[in-house]
Amino acid sequence: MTLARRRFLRAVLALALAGVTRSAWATAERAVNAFNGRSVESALGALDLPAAEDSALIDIDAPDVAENGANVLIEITVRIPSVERVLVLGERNVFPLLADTRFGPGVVPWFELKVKLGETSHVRVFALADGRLYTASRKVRVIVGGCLPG
Amino acid sequence: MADNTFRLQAKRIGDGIVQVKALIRHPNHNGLGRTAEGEPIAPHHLTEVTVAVNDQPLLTVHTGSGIAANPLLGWKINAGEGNRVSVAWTDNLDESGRAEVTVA
Repeated sequence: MTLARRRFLRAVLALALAGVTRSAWATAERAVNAFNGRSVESALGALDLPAAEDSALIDIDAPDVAENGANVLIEITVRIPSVERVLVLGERNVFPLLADTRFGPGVVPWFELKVKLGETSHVRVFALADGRLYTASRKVRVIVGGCLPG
Repeated sequence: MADNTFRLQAKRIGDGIVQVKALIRHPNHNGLGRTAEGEPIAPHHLTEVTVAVNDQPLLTVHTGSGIAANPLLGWKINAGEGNRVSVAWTDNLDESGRAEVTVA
């Protein structure tokens, strides 16, 4: 009886500890206001990020010319150590913030993603590592916009 | 699994590294579009995609309405043969989906 109770208490304690040690990235709330922002400034303003510095360590692989803006594959490689968060924005989209990725340990800081681009614009990427914000961008020319129906 | 909204692939590409590709069937309406009759189409898009290995979450992507319809998402994660890789999504209407594969 007491043994069973001890085992039960231990299980409860382990669960509680697991809850506490679960890292911030896994429980982070979706930044709703940033996703609803209708300009790069308002999206970023809702995120409370440090000032960004340009970085050559962020590679954005995207087509120079996208015939169909509704389906543009972008590939992002971040060669900065201990990256915890990567933001992708289509600068001239109605809702510029496209994705907000949070990496835990055990992930190579690389990802690919299909996005919509409303018109020709820069795809801008921000990477947060050790409390510092890095940025890079790449221009994609869009022939047929992908946000509003034709 | 038997979730037909999903195609999930996990392939070993190097020592301890697995490339995951998820193809999620989802309209991803941003709320700006209209039907052929001119009726507005309500927003319906993915809000969160998570990737886990053996049920341990590895990364989370919060997405906006600017993700393509039926998008491809891919990552490279530390995993190996026999690990179970799962990808789960939810959208702004609280619909969800999940798929799991075992790394061969």
